[in-house]
Amino acid sequence: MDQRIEINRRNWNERTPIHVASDLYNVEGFKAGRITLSDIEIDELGSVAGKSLLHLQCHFGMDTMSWARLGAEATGVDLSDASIVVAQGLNDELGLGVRFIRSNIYDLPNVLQERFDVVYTALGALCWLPDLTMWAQIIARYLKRGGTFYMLDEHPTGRIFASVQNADGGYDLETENQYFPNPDGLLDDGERNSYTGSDTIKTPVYEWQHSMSEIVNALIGADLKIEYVHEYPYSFFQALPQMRKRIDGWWELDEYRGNIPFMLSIKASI
Amino acid sequence: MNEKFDIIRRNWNERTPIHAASDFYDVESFRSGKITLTDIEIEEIGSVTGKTLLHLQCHFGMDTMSWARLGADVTGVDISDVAIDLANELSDELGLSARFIRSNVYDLPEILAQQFDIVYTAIGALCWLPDMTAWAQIVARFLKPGGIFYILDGHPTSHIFESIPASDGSESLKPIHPYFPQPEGIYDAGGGCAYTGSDVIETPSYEWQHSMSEIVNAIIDAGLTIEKLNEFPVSGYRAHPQMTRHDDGWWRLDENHGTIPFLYSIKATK
Repeated sequence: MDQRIEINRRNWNERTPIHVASDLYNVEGFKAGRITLSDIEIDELGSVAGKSLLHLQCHFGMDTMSWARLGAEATGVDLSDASIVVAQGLNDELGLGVRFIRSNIYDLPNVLQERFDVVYTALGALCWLPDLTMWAQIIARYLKRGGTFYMLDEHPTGRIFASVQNADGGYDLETENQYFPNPDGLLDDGERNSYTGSDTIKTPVYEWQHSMSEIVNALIGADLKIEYVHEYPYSFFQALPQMRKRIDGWWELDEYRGNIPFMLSIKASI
Repeated sequence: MNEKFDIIRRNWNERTPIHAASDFYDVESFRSGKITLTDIEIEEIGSVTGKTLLHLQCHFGMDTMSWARLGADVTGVDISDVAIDLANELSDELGLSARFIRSNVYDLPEILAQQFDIVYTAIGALCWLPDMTAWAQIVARFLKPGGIFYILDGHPTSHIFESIPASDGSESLKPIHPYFPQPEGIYDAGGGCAYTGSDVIETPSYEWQHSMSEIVNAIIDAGLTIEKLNEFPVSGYRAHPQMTRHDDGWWRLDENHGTIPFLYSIKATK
């Protein structure tokens, strides 16, 4: 097994209780019936009533269970043991009838055989995967003939920017990260804040950059047919410190607004 | 809209003799047999021997005639009268069998009825077109079933950047321009330099930004299947003062190499 994926499993085990307790994930709201999916996902994927749906990299499953609340027969898969335990606990408590499986997505064929109407992945997923060629083959492996793949995630262009504090106490936007894929990955040594707040994550983690062409070509190479690519000028999280949260929940820049795509969605069929 | 096309036509009429006299276009080398196409295009399109090829927005035709030198049966189309006159002169002088037609891309079906094995578009083309949906339908209209569409052009992400001089004399890349499409276009009042050197182009012009998703979706919606999307960290011209020209002829950012995709190519089939 890729040691880097094992490192990431431990990182996400440490993150899970911190995320569960955070305002960002707002588990109490979810328990009270909230659908955690974004309008973009719900509009673009369309009705899931009666459809089987496989959610890859589901973390502790609120999005997976939200698709169940919208009528899907949902299965969620995540690398983290702690996440899957929380997901199963929530599912049992709320009686949502979702199946959760702990697995690295590359190893999923060892433990799951069936095919699905929909394979779905969202919001902060691809950066944890070293190999998109294999990832796309896994997606194709799990789709029924005529099935739909849908993803909403960070745009690779948004990831090239970093904020540097300036003398005025504000931030300057710098163009400094690689746009193109880095197969070796970037090691973050840990001791960083989680994206949910000020809690420190001690364990290290690996991230990978994936370009638009790498993502698109991986899907095409797995015999999926791209139906569309959409790009959005805002983010699902505070990707840069000078971003401001809009009333509708998305994060955007004031300076340079509209100049950077921060999210992309892709719909493909097989 | 016709007025905008007429402005662009006049702008390219003014540019043509300046370009033809420039080191950048190096017409003398072309006369002595040079293939003006890039390695990227030649490799990605593959053999054109015996194939019919339609070059949209061909300027004064050196790339079009280079495909003829590589064995294609070529037709080039351009909006500029002066450019088409020069293309015809070069073709006659060099005895290269190439047909050139003066037409706006969108009006081409009124004067050309056949279909081609290959429809081709090269660097610096789409920014002169307002409407990608209608453009992609033109591409599909002129392709035989099973035919190939290929484009190599400036990457929409690269269009957002300007180099801003910092106090220490270095150049900083800032996302100054919109990434997302602006249907009304950007008016250039003229008086700026041509990209070939210091000559001033007096006539105004219009340009349009097209996002990657807009281009990809237009091609898909015209009924073509995307086979490959590629992205490149190199430029065909000095897009920023801190770029240097390498032995392979491409311009690169030396510091921050790989942060910005400057070119993309798409291969699609009908």
